[in-house]
This record gives sequence, C-alpha cells and structure tokens, in this order.
Amino acid sequence: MSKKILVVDNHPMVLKLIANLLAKDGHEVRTAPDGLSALDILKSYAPDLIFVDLVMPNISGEKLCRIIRNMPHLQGVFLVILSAIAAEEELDFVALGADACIAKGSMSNLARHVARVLDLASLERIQEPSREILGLEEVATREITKELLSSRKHFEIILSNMSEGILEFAPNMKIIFANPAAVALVGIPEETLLGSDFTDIFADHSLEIVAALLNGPAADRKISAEAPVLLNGRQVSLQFLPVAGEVGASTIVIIHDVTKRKQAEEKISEQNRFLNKLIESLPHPFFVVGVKGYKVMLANSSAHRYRAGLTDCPGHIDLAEPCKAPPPYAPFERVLQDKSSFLMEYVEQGRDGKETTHEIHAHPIFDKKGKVTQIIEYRLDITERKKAEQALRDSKDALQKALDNLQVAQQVAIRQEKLASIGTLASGVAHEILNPLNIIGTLAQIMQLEKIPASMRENLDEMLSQIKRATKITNNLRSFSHQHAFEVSLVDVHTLFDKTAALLEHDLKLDNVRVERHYAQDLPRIEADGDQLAQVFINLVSNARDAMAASGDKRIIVETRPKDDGVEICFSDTGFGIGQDEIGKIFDPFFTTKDPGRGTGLGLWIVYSIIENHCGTIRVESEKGKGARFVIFLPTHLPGRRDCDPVDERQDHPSGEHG
Amino acid sequence: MKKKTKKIKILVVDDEYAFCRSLKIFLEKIGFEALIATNGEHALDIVSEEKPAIMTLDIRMPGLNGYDILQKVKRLHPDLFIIVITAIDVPKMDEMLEHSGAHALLHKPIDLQKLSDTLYGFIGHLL
Repeated sequence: MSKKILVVDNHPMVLKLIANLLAKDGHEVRTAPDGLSALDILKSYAPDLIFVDLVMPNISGEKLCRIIRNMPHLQGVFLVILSAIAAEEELDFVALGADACIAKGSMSNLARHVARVLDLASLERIQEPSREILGLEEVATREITKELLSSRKHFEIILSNMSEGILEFAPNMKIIFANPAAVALVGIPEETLLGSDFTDIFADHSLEIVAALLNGPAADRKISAEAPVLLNGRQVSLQFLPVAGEVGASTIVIIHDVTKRKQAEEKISEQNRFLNKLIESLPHPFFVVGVKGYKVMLANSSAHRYRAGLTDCPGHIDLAEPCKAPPPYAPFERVLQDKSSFLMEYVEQGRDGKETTHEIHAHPIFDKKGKVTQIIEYRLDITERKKAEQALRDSKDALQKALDNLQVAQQVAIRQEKLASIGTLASGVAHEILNPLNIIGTLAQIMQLEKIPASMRENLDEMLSQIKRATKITNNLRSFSHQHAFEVSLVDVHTLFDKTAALLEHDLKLDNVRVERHYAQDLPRIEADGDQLAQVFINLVSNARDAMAASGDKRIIVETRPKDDGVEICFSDTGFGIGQDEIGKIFDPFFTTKDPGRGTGLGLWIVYSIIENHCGTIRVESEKGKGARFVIFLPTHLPGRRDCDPVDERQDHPSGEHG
Repeated sequence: MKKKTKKIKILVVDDEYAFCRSLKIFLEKIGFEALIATNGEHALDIVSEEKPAIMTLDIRMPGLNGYDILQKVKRLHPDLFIIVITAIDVPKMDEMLEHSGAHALLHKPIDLQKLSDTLYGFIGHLL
C-alpha cells in the first residue's frame, strides 16, 4: 500500500538514502533539507508519514514536530524522529508528539528500522506508542556530543529565561527561532510564529520603518530606545545580529520592551514641562544652581532679565560666570554650611541709581546621602512692600504723635478750663468784694480828713489796713484769673529770674537775704508765659524769705540745669523747713504756716497751678529745720500748643500799679 | 469861700451810688464841684449840659460801659480830662485806656491821696 511520505533532514546522504529506500517500496516521497522548507511543503501537502531529523538548522526537529502536531490537516500523520544524538540525550519523543524514534546508526541498520516503522505506521496512529527508541542499542555514546548537548541545554535555559525577546529569521525573512519572551512580546503562538515572515509581526508605520531598515545596509539595522517601534502594542527597540550559518546568513533580533521606560521618560518630561511652565510663570527671578562651580542648571527668563539689569552681584553667581563673594553676602556658602534654607534682605543699587530691596531665598536640595547638590534660589523684589511698610509705620508714628499731642492738649485744656473757671469765679467775686471795700475805704479816708479824736484815727488806720489786707487777698485770688490769655513766648529762665529778683532786691537786702545763682550753661529757652513764670519766682522767693526770718544764715540758692526735654529749676533756702505732716498740704489753696495776716495761703497754690498749666512738675524736699528745696521741671516745648509764637522773650514783668 | 469863684467841675461816674456820694464828699472837701452819674446815658447828658473839666469813670457798669462812654464822650468833649477808677485789673489795661483817650488809671479801693495828686497834677496843666 503506497504512502505519501515527507522526509526532513539536513544531511543529504541520509535524505537520499531514506528517499530511495521508500521510493523502492513504491511510496510517494518528498524531501526537505530543513524545518523551514518542510513547513513550506506542508502548506500544500498532507503526507501520511513524516521523518524528522532532530538536529537541523532553520527550525529544529523538536519545534517542527510541535508545529506539525498543531496543524489541523496533519492531525493523523505518523511522525518519526531521526536522532543522531539519541544515545547522549534522554529524549522523550512522545512528549514532542512523535510516534516513533530511530537512533541514527549505520546505514544498513537505519534501513531496517525505517522498514520497521513503516510496519508500525500501517496500523494507523498508535494510541500508546512504545517509548523504545529503535536502534538505540546499536549506537555508542560519544562524550563530545554529550558535552555539546549539555552546553546547548544551558543556552536554552538562558534563552528561555531572558527578559529580552530573541528572534532569529532566515535570509528569506522566515522566523526560525523565538524564545518565550519574544513569543510573549509578539503575541502569536510559537507554532504560528515560526515560519512566518519577520516583517509580518509589525503593523502600519512600524512595519514601514522595519521594512525600510531591512532593505537598507546591514550596518544601519537598529531601532534605538529613543525612537522605538510598536510591536503588538508595546514600544520596542530592536538589535539585529547577523549570524553566518550553513544554509545562509540568518539574523538574530534582540527585542527590548522599552514601553515602561518610555512611559517613565514621558512622565518625567511631562513633569519637566510642568516644572518649566511653573518656574517660567514666576514673575521673580528663579534659578537652580549646582554646588560644583555654581553652575546654573535652571533659570527662568525673569532671572536672565534680572541679571542683565544689575551692576554687581555680591554673593551671587553671574549667570554666565559664577562668582563667590565673601560673607555676609554669600547665601550659597551659607546654605552649604548650614544645610538649611536661608533668607536675607538685600538692598541693591541698580544701573539707573535706583535702590531696590530684595528678599533672597535659598533652599538646599539634598542627595540620598544628605549632601547638598543643588541650591534653589529666588528673589522677590520687596521694594514696594518695604515702602508700604515704612509708610504704614510713619503714618502710625504720626498718628501716635498726633494722638499724644491731642491727649496732652486735652489735659492742658481741661486743666486750663478748670483753672479758668476758678479764675472766672475768683475774678467775679473779687470785683464784687472790691467795690464795697472801695466804698468803705473811701469813707474811712474821708473821715480821716475830719478833726477826730486820736483813738478814732487809730481805729480808722486799722480799718484801712484791714481793707488793704482784704484787697491783697482778693487781688491774689484774682491775679490767678485766666481771663487774659496764656501768652506764650520763648523765655530765657535766667534773664527772667534776674529781672524778677531785681524787683525784690530792696526787700531782700533789708532782710539780709543773699541770692546764690548756679546757672547751667547753654540752658535752653523754654516756651512759657513769662508773666506767670515771674509770679512763680516771686512767690517762691517771698516764701523763702519769710521762712528764713528766724535763720542766722539767710540764703536762697537757685540752680538750673537742662533735663530731658526741658529745664530743671531748684529753689533752696536755709529756712525753718517744712514738717512731714505739712509737706503733703503745702500746695493746697489757703494752706499757710505764716502768722495770720501775713499769708493768704494762695502763693504756693498759684505756683503749683502755673507750673501745671505749663505741663511741668513741682515737688518739694524738706525736713523741719533744714530748709526747703523746690524742684521745678518745665518742658522746652509746650505740648499741644499750636499758638506758640517763637518771638523774643517777653521781658516786662507784670506791673501792679500805674501812676 | 464866700466869693463865688468858679470851681472846677468833676463828674463822678460809677454805678455804685454810695461810692459816687463818698467821692463827691471828698472832692468837695478839697475844693471841686462834684457831679454824679450812676449810668452811662446820664453821664453823657451831664457832660453835654454841664461841660465838666474832669470825669472819673468806672469801667464795669450795666448798660453803657466805661469804654463806650469814653468813646462817645471824646467826641462830645475832646478836652475832657478822664480818670478811670476801676476794680478790674487785667494786663495792658493802661495801654488800652490810653488808646481810648483816658488820661489816668486808678485802682479800687481808691487811695484818695493818689487821686488828689492826680487831680492837682492835671490842674497844673490847666493853669
């Protein structure tokens, strides 16, 4: 019974022998020198029996068997493996889908075993093939073959476990080898992949690129990771390695899946674009500097513009030429030293001479070891902010000052109003009292013109003296009336005191009172009402004189000195002093230690009121028997007074009587 | 004093009648003829009718006050010698009065000796 038989072996002798053998028996025989050719034939030819050599170029026997077994029209074919290395390799031919296996030995033995296989094949396909390898006992083991097989096994393991895809295609572009990674990458079953065209695994534009590449010179054959092609939806780079073989130069292709890398790169460049946009959007200069040589690695256009407009850059790199300036204008050095962010304010002189204030921020960037590798720096022009802050401070100060003035003015006004109302009252009362006193006095004086007894004359004298006393009190009270304006001028305290003392000189001489002056040099002139101040001096000197009536040593010591924003005037005397029980009351109105008829009790009250009215202070230090010391402080400027006329000091002293 | 020599007329102007009266007594004692007016209108009437040579004048009065009287009287009788007698004591009052045409200023309570000194001084001018 004639059978259709395909013999595949790369050894022409074997091929010829078996073909002749089978043809002699009347079978229809076709031959193929390798797996690839066999697959070609099998596309249009369905043999009953196939002999496959195990070790062949262009698709090995093992692969070919597996492919055949996956071909639908070859399901029933009887597959026989011819193995030259059966003795050295423990071959499980059943697992390869073969029905029998013949160990290649001598030609005569081979012919015998082929005949035996033909017998077996006549029984259709065997359900449970014998695992016996025919002719195995006739071949001897060869050590060299064993070693080669062992090393092949190593390479197979390596190949099958590589993450890179490895493909091999024959000069006619047919794929003859694919490792598992390549199979996975291409996404086509190995059986289908083997024998198909290499270019067919690509599509569209990638196909064009690869095809063009393969048509070009062999030296240029490369698809780099930078410009990958698409393979089954993945981005891959391709490396083409020509292999010189027996049948012709095949080509090994190493396929790298660079999809993830490309995605990561894309992500990074997207982030970079984002960051660039970000720093470019900053209106102020922003740049990143490497610590080695202070090279600028990144700078926005504002940074470039900024540099162009400056004459100097203390502590700062020039964008073209890094410079190192000494501290304290070296934020970079500081950042490197402290390993922390740094902030400073810097006033810069522009080319146009305009001063601008900048806030310089520097932040270190660390590597994994914590070393500073880069420094971010940006500058904010805070000139306007500074100006605004200063303006705010100034206006706040001005406001505070105005408020202070207002408060003082208010206090003064309240005090003056209080004193004025007392004055108004005093003035009114004085006028009302003076009129009856005037009438009584006139009548008493008229009566004195008459011829009257001496006793009555004495009584009238006493009456007139009492009228004078009442008048004095009334006038004292009234002299404090502020119906007349508070007349401020610049007063030289020394001149004023000298003139006032001159008026009292006669009285003082009579009482043997000496006035000692300890005047400070350069005592500032003060804003004051000269008349009122003269009143203060008169009252204090009169008081001192009265207090020293019983003293042996009669001295009034006047000292002046500048103090704070004003002058201090001290009046000391060598009088009987003031007791502790009285010291708190001496400025009260109507308080007096003098004999009845001598004092009105208004002198020190008037002094106190006038000093108060000048926003000054007065205090007294004394001990009974040890003299008294009045310390007056008067400010140079009367606060809250806008009507101060800085004219010459008034020199006239309030004159009581007119002729 | 029998001989009716022409005495110098003095007009005393003060709203306090008691003062006018006592001053009149004094003035007559020292040989003047004293007239009294206790308000401004009355004083102006007397000035125009009696033509006194001298006038004492209070400043603070109800109705026409001393300054008003001074100004009006100066027009009626520019040669009138005027002594202001007042209880008011304010600075620069003398200047103010001089400006208004007063010739002397005396303070209350009046010192009669000073008054007569002032009057005799004026009479010296008149003679």
